[in-house]
Amino acid sequence: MTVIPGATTSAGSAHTQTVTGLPAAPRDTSPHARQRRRWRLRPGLLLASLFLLWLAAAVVAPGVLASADPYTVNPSRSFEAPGAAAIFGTDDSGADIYSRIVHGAATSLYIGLGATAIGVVGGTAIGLLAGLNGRLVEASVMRVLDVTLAIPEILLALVVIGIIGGGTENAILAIGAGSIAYYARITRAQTHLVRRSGYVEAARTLGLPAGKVLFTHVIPNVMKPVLVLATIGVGSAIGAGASLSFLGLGTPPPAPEWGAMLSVGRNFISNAPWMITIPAAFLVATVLSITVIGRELRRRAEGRVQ
Amino acid sequence: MTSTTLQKQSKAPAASNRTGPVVDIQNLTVDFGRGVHQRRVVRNVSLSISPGECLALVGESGSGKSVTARTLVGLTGHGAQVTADRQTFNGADSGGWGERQWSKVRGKDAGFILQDALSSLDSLRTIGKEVGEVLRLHDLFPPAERYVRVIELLRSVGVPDPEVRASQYPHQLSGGLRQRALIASAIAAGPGLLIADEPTTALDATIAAQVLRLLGDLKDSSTGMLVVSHDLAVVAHLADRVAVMRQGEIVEEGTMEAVLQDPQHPYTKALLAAVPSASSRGSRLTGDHGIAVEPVETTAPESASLETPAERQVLISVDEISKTYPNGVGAVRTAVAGVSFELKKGDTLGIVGESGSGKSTVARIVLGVEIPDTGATLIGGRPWAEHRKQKDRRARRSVQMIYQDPLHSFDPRKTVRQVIGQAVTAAGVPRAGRYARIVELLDLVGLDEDKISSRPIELSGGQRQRVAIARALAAEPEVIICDEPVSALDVSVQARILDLLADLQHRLGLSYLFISHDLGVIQHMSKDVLVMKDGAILERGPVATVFDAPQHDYTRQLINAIPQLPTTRHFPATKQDGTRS
Repeated sequence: MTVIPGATTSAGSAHTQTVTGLPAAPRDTSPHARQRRRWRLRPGLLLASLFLLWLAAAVVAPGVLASADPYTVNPSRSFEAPGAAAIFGTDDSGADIYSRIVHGAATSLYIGLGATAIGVVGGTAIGLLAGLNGRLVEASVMRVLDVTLAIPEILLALVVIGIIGGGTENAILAIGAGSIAYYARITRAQTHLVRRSGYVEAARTLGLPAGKVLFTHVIPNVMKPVLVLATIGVGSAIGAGASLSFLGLGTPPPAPEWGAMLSVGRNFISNAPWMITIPAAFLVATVLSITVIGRELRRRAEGRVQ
Repeated sequence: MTSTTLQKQSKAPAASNRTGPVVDIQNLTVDFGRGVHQRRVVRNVSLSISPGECLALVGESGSGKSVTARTLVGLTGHGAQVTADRQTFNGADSGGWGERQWSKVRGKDAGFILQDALSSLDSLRTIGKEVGEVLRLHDLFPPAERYVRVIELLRSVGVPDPEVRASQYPHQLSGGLRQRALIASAIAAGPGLLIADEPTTALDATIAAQVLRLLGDLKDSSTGMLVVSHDLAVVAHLADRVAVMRQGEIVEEGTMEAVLQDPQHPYTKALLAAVPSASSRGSRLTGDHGIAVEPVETTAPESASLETPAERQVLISVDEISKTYPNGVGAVRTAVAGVSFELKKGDTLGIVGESGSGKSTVARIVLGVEIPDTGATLIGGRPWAEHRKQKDRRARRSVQMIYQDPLHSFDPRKTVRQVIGQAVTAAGVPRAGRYARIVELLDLVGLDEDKISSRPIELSGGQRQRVAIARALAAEPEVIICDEPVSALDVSVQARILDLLADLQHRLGLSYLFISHDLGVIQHMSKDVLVMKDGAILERGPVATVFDAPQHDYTRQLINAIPQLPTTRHFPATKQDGTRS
C-alpha cells in the first residue's frame, strides 16, 4: 500500500518509502479536484495571509490605517494604557502606539527584506561559485566561509556597523553581509546534490547545452530550498534589525521602528508594559506569518498537494 | 533445521494450548479518511490462518493486501476505521484491542518481516542489539543468556559468522544478510504468526531464492505464516493457500495448486499471464494493451531481423572497456573489466547480473555520461570522445536511457508537459509544432492527454515510466538503454510496460540495451544476452542457448533462482500466442 493519509506508524513509514507509485485505488485526480485540494485553506494559513495583507496595507498607506501622527508629542497623554482613546495605548512622549506600529511597519520590513536580499544574492553567488568549480576554488571559498560562520551573525553586523556607522541603510548592509556565509553554505551543498541528480543527467543526454542546463535545472532547483530558508531569514533579519535599533545602532529615534520602540519601552517595562509587549507581538506575528507562507509556497512549488 | 527446534523451546505457554486458527477475520472492512475523503481500502475480506499453514496474499499495489496484513496485528495506521464481524488472534477476540494490547502481542506472538530491511533496521544499532530487542522487550530470556540466543538465531537463519555480524551495523551488511537479520528478529520470540510483506522484492534473484527457502524452512506445525506479494511466482512454492486481492476484495481463494492449475477469476488469469518468462517470449503479457493505436502483429521481436544479420547496421560497438573507482582507502574497486559487445539495429541485447556486477556502469559508459579508463564506445562507428569534442547533438540524442526509478530523473518543479517539452525542444522541433509533438508522444506511450499538466510525483509508477519513455522517444533515439526499467513495478504494471516497449520496438525500429537482474524479463525481451559478474562478461550468446545450456556455474545458479510457477504452462493472454505455447 502506498500513501495512506495518517498511516504513520514507524513500520508504516518505512514501508511507504519503498513502494513506488501512487495508489491505483480510486483517488479523485481530476484537475477540478486537485484545484479544490489546492485552495482549501487551513486556518493558520488564512490568518498569516490576512496579517501579511494588513502589513502590506500599513506599508503602502499607513495614513489610511492610522490617522494619528506617529511623531506627535503630547506630554499630557503619556503612558495611557490601551483603551478606547488609544487602542494600544501611548508611549512616554504621548504618541499613539498603534499609529507608530503602523508607520513603523515599512521600516521594519525594509530592513528584513533588504538584508535578506543582500544575503541571498551574495550567498548564492558564492555558493554556486564554490559548488560548480574545481576542488581548489571550492576548498578556499569554503574555509573562508567556515571562519565567517564561526562568528555570531549579530557580532559580525556590529563589526560592519563599527566600520561604516549606524543608520537604517547601514544596518541592512551589516545584517545582510552577516548572513551571506549561511546562504552560501546551503547553496553549495544543494548545488552538489542537483549537479548529480538524475534530471540533470537526463537533460544532458538529451543534448541540452551546459549553460541551458545550468539555468533551467541547476539554479532553480538550488534556489528552491534557499528561498524557503530566506523567508524564515526575513523574520530573523527583522529581529536583528530590531536588536541593532534596540542597541541604538539602527534606525535612530524618534522614527517609529519596532526595534527602536522596544528599546525605549524597556525603560518603562514595569509601569507601561504595553510599550514593549505590543511591538514585540507584532514582530513575532510578522516572523511567524512569513514563515507559514514560506512553507506553503515551498509545498506548492514541489507539487506536494494532498 | 535448527530454527524450528529453537522456536518450540521458546514458545510461550499461552500459545501451546491453541487448537483453532492463529488469526481469523470475517468481513473485514477498512476505510481511510472521513467524509468526502473517505476511501474504502479493504472490503469484506475474510481469511483465517491455522498453525502450520502458509497463506499467500497476492495483488498489485493498492489492492489492499498490505493493509489487510497489517490489520491482522493491529498496525492499520492512524485515521483508519476498521470493522469486522469477527477478528480473533490466538482464539481471543482482538476486535477492540488498543495499542497497549497489540504491543504485548507483536514481536512475541506475531512477527513482521518488511520489504526493505535497510529502513526497517535502526541504522544506529548493531544487528545483535536489534535481534535482542524483541527478547528484551518481552522479557523472554534472562539478560545473560540473550546474547547466546541472538547468536543462535542469527545462525539459524543462515548468517555466516554470527558472532562477527552481531556487532555490525545494518549498512555493513549486504541486502540478503539484512533481510536474514530482520527475519531473525521476527522469529526471535518464536511467534505463532509470521507475516512477511514482500520479503524478497528488493533482493537480487539468487538472494531472493535463498530467503524464500529460508522462509520455507521456518514453516512448522505450530506457526501460521502470511506472505504478501505482488508476484504469484514468488510465493508459488512457499504457500499452501493463496488469496488473490484486487481493489480491496479477495477475488479468488483456494489451494495454491488449484489456483495455479485452474484459475477461475479473469484477474487471476491475467496475473499469471503477466509473468514474463522464456515461454512468454514474443507474445503479449497483457490482454488489454494500453496503447491507442492497434499494435502491429506481434509475432516476435525476431520479425525485425528477417534480413540477414550481416546487412544490419551496428549501432553501438563497445570495445574492451574498463572502469575503476577509488574505494576510499587508497585502493581501487574494479567496476568494469574488459567488456566488449555490439548492438545491431532492431536488436535487444540483455545484460543480466546481480547488484555490483558492473552492469549499470556499462550502461552509463554506453550512454556517454561516464568515461571508461581504457577502451572505447563507438556510436555509429565513431567514439564518444569524438562526438563530445565536436558537440554532435544528433549523436548525443541517438542514445537515451530509462531508469529504474523514473521519478529521480524528472526535475521536481516541472510538469509532464515541461519534461517532455524540453526534450522535444532539444530535438529541434520548432515552437509551433511542440505541443502537437508532446501529445503525439504521450499517445505513443499510452498516456491520456489529460496527464499533460500533472507533475510526475502525482502519477503512478507505471505512468511515470511511460513519461520517461516518452521523453526518451522525443530525442528520436536509435538506442534506448533500459536500466532495470520494470524492477520497481508490480507484475501486472511490469507486463504493460514490457508490452509497450516491445510494441515501440516494432513500430520505430528501436534497439534496446536491456539491463535487469530478473532473468524472466530478460528471456522475455531480448534476443542475445550477456551474463555479467564482478565487472566481466561470464557468458554470452542467444537467449535460448545461454538459458537452455548454460556453460558457467554462476549462470546455472541464476537460472535456478528464477521463481517459477510450478506449471510451466503459459496462460495465454491473447490468441496470437496460442500457437506458441
